[in-house]
Amino acid sequence: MSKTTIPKGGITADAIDATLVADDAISDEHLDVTAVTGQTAITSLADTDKFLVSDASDSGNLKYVEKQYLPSGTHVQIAQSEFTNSTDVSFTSIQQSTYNNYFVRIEGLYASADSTYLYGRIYLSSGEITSSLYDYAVREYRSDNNFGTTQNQNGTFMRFNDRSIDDDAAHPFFANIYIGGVKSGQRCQYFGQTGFSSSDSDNPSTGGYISSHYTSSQEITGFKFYPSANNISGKITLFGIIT
Amino acid sequence: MSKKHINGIEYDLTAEEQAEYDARQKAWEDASGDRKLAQIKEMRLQKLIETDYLANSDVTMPDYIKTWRQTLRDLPANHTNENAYDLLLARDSDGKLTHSVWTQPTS
Repeated sequence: MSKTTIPKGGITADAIDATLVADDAISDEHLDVTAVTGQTAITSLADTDKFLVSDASDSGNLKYVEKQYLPSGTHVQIAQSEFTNSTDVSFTSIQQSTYNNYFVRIEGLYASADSTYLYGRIYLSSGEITSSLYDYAVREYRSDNNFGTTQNQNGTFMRFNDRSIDDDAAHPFFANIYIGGVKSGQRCQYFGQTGFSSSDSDNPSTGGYISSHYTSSQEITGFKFYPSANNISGKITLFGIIT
Repeated sequence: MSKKHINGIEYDLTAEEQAEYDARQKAWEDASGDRKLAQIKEMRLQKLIETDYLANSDVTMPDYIKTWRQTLRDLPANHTNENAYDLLLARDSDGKLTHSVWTQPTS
């Protein structure tokens, strides 16, 4: 068939349909990139948002898949705080009806002054719990062959380090903390590791193990991290764990 | 006004929260001397531990070590204010302690 000329008046709506365009008549090279880049960008995905796929199980035919069917990791980021000179960092939308276990990543934490310790508390639906319902234990090993411990029962907070957080951003504090048991009837338990350095020459590196819990068994609605005094800077990310 | 972060968003502290924070901060500042003395005691303990082996029955602890260990034990009694604590905790630009009491004598 010979080529034809498109009338100057244009093409009416729906004039070109499958009966007029043979399979593979339009190859990839004729698709303008604005087919993608010309669309409106979105910054979050709904479960029913669709992606175009070539179905390997069906001769590569084009189909779509919805976001809810895409594979995902077991750690889902819920919230992230990047902060400078903050008095406390809280997560109060932890989606406790969806997740029972959480992972908290603390990165690059440093304090506005030396002799600062990282504390934690939990939130219930009634608000932050400040009463004497927390136990904690911290064990640290240091590269100068020292070690340190700190522990307490029935205190008003959980504590996550024995050696104080440094006041120099070049000597930051890191921690990976798992939190489990946020549902009613369970005891909310924290367990994790810490690692940090000090600008003092005799304590250049410290590794710690932490365990703590809230001694009651109510539904937890949030987590709070705060310094014993002064302010803290750094980044804390909260993940929900799919089990 | 101090700042707090909730779910990644920065907020000013409420007046009540600010008052609580200020009280906590004052308590921390008031305890400065106690913290420094605790740090000195911890460093002293480490220095004593390093020479504990010389107290074993199969070795003889030199007199200069005995004297040094007693000096370490007497640190809290002989240094009783924050200025003295600061001198004991002073460090040079490399982070090394500068007070001579922390250096183990060799004779």
